[in-house]
This record gives sequence, C-alpha cells and structure tokens, in this order.
Amino acid sequence: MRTSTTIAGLLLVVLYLPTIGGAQDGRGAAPASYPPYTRPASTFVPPRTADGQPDISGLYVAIPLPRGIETPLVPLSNRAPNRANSEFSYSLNERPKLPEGAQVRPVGVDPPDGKIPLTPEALARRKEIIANQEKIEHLDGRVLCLAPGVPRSTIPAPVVGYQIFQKPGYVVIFYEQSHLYRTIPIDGRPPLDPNIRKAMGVSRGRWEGNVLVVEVTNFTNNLSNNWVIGAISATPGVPAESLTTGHGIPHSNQYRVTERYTPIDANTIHYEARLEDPKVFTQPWTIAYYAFARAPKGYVPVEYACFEGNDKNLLLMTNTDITGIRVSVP
Amino acid sequence: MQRTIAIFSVGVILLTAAVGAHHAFSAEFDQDKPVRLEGALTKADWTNPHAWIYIDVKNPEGKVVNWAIEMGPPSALLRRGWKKSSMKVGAIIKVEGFAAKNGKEFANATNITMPDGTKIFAGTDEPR
Amino acid sequence: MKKPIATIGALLTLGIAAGFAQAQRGAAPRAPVVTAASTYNGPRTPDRKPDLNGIWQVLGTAHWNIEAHSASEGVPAGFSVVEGGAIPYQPWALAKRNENFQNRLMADPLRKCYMPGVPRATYLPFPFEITQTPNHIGIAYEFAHATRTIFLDGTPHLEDLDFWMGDARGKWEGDALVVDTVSLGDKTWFDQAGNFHSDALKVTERFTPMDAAHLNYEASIDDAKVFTRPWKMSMIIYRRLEKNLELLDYECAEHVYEKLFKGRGGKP
Repeated sequence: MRTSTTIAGLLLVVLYLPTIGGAQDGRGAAPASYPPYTRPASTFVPPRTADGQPDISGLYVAIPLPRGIETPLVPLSNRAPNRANSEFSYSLNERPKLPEGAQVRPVGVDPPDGKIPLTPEALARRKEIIANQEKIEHLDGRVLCLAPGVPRSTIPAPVVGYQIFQKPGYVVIFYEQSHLYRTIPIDGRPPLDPNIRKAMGVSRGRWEGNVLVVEVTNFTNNLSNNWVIGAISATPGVPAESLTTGHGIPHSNQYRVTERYTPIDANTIHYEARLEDPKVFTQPWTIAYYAFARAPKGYVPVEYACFEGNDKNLLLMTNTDITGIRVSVP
Repeated sequence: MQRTIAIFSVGVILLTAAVGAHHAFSAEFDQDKPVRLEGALTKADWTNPHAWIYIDVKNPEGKVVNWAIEMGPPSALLRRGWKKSSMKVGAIIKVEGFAAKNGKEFANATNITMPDGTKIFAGTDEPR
Repeated sequence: MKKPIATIGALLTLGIAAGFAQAQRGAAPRAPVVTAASTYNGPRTPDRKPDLNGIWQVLGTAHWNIEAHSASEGVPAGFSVVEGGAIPYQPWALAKRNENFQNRLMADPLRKCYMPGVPRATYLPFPFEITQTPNHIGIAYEFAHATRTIFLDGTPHLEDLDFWMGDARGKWEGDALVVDTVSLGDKTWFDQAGNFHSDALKVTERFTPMDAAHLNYEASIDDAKVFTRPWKMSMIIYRRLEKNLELLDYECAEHVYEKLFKGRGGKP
C-alpha cells in the first residue's frame, strides 16, 4: 500500500537523519501510527490508609522513558551511547519494568501528533534561548540547580527516586533530585493568593476513585529559566524549531497543570499531566506515561544536593564565576 | 609522585548527534580531547551534583599542575560502593576522560583506576 | 501523706503501662521500661505515637547566635541555647570560630544558599513541616526546600559519606522521638556567628512533646575534633496554629541568579 510505504519511508529517513547531523522535526516519527490516547483502565484496588485514602505511599524509582520513540521530551537518537552504564543502571542493577500489557508510546498524547503546540512568540523566544545556551541567563533552569517545577520533576532523570507519604488530609511527595518536595492538601481548601508563587507551584488535590487528581497553579515567574519540560538537558546542535526536545520553553505567570496519578498495580503508578499556558501554548497539551515503579527492596533514598556543588560546572559552561555572590538571610 | 599526561588524538569518529546528548557535558568538556591523567590525590569533594577529585599531575614541561576531575553524583557513586574513605589523599589515581573546552586543568572522568588496579566507572554520563 | 504516694503510684503505673504497651506493639522484646511520665495528652497517630504531623517553627535568636549575645545592628539580643552557656571549643577551634565571626558575611555557607545542616535547619526563622509515618518521618524545610528523611525502620546508617543534611535514623523512646544523625560533612555552621564543626560531627536530637503545640527540643553535639567534650543545646519548638498554612518558598538560589543577571544587564 502506497501510504504505508510512504510512512515507513519517512520513518526510515527520520531514523537516519540525526546521524548526518540534520534537523529532526518529529514529523512522521511514529505518533500518527498510535491509537488515540485513552487513560489506562486500572482494575487494581489499592489498600486504604488510616484516613481512607487509596494507599500509594512508599519509595519509588523512575521508569525510564521509551527509547527509540520520539517524545516531546527526548529526541529520538540524541542520547549518548551506553558507556558501560546507562543513566539508570548506575543507580540500580535492574531497570524498572513497565507493567504487563503497557503500551510503549510517545509521551505526548495530545495533540495526537505529539508536537508541543507553541505560540509563534513562544517559538521565537525558544529560538533565542536555544541559540544562547553559553550565556548563563539563558541556561536550562535544571542545569542552574533551580527547581524544575511540574511536570518536569516527574520526568525521569538519572539517579532519581521518589518517596510518597500520606497523612490525614495530605499526599506529600519527596523528590530525591535536588531534595524537592510538594505537600498536596486533599481537604478542598481554596487556592492561594496570586501573589504567592512557588517554584513547584501550589497544589490542590482530590481523589477521584483511586486516581489522585492535582491542580497546580501559582508558579514562580521571576526568572525565565523555568522550562516546563525536557528530560536532562538541552542538546546542542538541535535547531529550536524541533518540537521534540521540549527545551527552551519557559512558562508565563498563567501556567497551570492538572495531574493524574493512577495506580496500575501494586508496583506501578501511571502519570498524566495536562499543561496550560495561553501565553505559551496555542492549546492545552498532555503528556502521559508510566512514571513510578516501586523501588527495589533495600533501596535507600539518598541526598542529592545540587546548588552546593555546581559552581565549577557553571564556570565551565558559561565562564561565569558565581562564588562571590551572597544572599541575605533573615 | 607525579606522572605524565598522555593526550591521545582521537581515532574514533564521534558524530555530534550521537554523543552530544548531554548539554552540560558538551558545553563544558570536549569529546575530541580525550585525556589520560595520573597523579596523587590532593582532595576529594563529595559534592552534588558532581563529586570532584583533585590530582597533582606533571605536565609535559615537568611542572606539577593540579587537575580538577569531575565524577558522577555522589548518590550514583555510593550505589556503586564508593565511600568518602575510598579516596585517600596521596593515592595514585589514573583517570580516563575528556578535557575541558576552556583549555584549563579540568576533566570529566569516564573511568577511574584506583591504586590497587580496580577500575571504577565514574558515572558522569548524563548526570543531570 | 496521701498525695505524694498517689503521685508516685500514678507515675509508676504510667511508666509501666507505657513500657508494656510498647512491648504489646511488637517492638523488639525487652523488659517493660519505666520511663519518666510523659505529660503529653495531645493527639496520637494510629500507632499510638504523639502526632507530630504539621508545621512547626522555633522562636528566639539561636539562628543568629546560639550563645548569649547583646544586640548589634539588625540582630536582637539573645540568651544562650547552649547548656552551660558557652560552647566548649578546643583552643584552636575557638580562634577559628572568632575568625569565622569576623568573616561571617562572606563565610557563612547559608548566605551562599547552601543547605543549613543539622541542627541549624531546626531553628532557622522559617517554618518546617513534619510528615510522620510508622517507618519514616519526612521533614520539609521552607529554607531552600531542604529535606531530611528520618528512618524509623531499624535500617543501618549510611556512614563514611558526606551529606549536607546528614543521614538520620530514629526511634521512639516512650513519647520522645530520638534521632541520631551522622555523615554530616564539615561545611555547615550552627548559626550566623561562625560556630562550626568538623566532619566527625554526630548529632543526637530528642523531640519530646510537651502538649499538642509544643515540643521540647534538645540537640546533643559530639565532635571530638573541635570540642573538648560533647555538649547540648535546647529550645522549644512551637506548632504553627494558623488555618490552612503551607510552606512557601525561600528559593535562595533564585536570588543568587537575580543578583547575577541584574549585574549583567537585566532579566534574561
């Protein structure tokens, strides 16, 4: 059939393009051949906490994102070769597995073509940012050791683990990376004054059956290094027009995210995040993937400080010495 | 005791797209400048996001220069059995890695060989 | 002399009951412990421990200087929180502390936005939030979003390592939470006045609930490289009672970059 040959041909072309150093624009990169996204149907019934919440508490590790599939997070082949250890195996002896029957697909599920729907202004901004990555003002916030926000703190990164706590009226998540945390009240309290902003946003949660739904608003906006998405760090040499890297997209003060945490089985939590920002995106868009796997027995979460040891890296990346700067503390 | 540097010219063709995966790595270090260094440890900083060790190396002119070697995050290293006392001041350490783009005495370690010959992957691949 | 006997009897009963109850809960088998009577009458968790969940904060001046001090510009006067008044420094260390004090505006690691360490994180003028489960206690600090996870599950310390907030293992002794922390490194201070430690530091904290809104906090400091003997600081931790409170941000690193970027011509 002509159509399928064409698509296959495009796929082949896209797969080989990166090695010639050409642009990747994600076109024909598989999303069109996936069925429309439906939320995972879960028959799993978690046990209950003392205060009646579905119990999802415990230690978790990140399930690596699918390799070899275009996502709006990591380009298809711009990953370092496995030098003895992949980014995950140096934290664990075994990569976390997807649950039985889980479909491996790109994480961008809406719009169906998997592309991030940027406004023209946001794309222009992105080009400027990506073109200036040797300037510290334009660096990826993660590389500056700023909080990666939501949902980026749930995008798998090396050595990352999570601890989910539950107490009456709250779900609390500790992120190993950069020792971040979120306290998610589920008591129906009102949102906060718009003048209060947090790097990880302000969360308001509720249980819909066994699914934890969280609305996140009030994100900090005083620096523009708060890129909403992107695994690890931006790839040099990839043009900003590529909508597959996810980098270089800071959010505005109107950014909001709606998350869904769905326990699939006793060992897996599926994650969905709907991102809205009318100043940056032409429409809300959604990512979804299997995010959390129960940590192996004996796993110990370990401190991952970031800012404390980062000054040499900033010097090497941007020739900027931050070691003389001091902040007043009360 | 100091040892000499050996800088190997690259026989391998490394395609930009294939290895330029980590912004911070290729923004700081040069994959076309692999280095082998050997020298006595002067300091080990168990810091995040990267641990750093410092070794005294004799450069080709015979001068002793202190190199800063970037390793992986401590949380990755400790899961491979590293401890603070794994690195002893004065121990002769061998480093395979890549030199910094800025031409100064910084390198990113791909592998570390301890005095007893144990080779330890320094785990700097995509550390962020 | 009816009263004293009745009181002693009550105390003994409470103590024995507490010990017996502990044994009943499946703790490691041991003889019932006669503990000092707990005054705690506040809420308890399902596993019968004092409920420490919530937001807490210390009052006072320890974050400026844990020793007694008169006021200086911007710094109120304060009592010592150190038992015995003065920190028992070795002579070289006292000189070092005084040097730290002179250089404090540049030398204080907190002003570089480094994590505060233990026990300084407890008495910073910022709230912290405790999340309590039978096997773990998570403490989230508003300052630079520092965290500690205290393991109550009997697992061993991560030793011979170097963490800003250390490695903490805890257990309940009656109604008191006892936490010991190692692997603290040597890069944090105890306050803004230059009081410091070495990498030999081990800290033992006791959180003793007095009532639903007050904890008696003691931190024992053990560092033979710096001090002539172990010593202790103590203070009260107050529960923040306002409705719908939550920890906010003091994202110190953002303020570093704001300063830096301004100095280079403005926001990116």
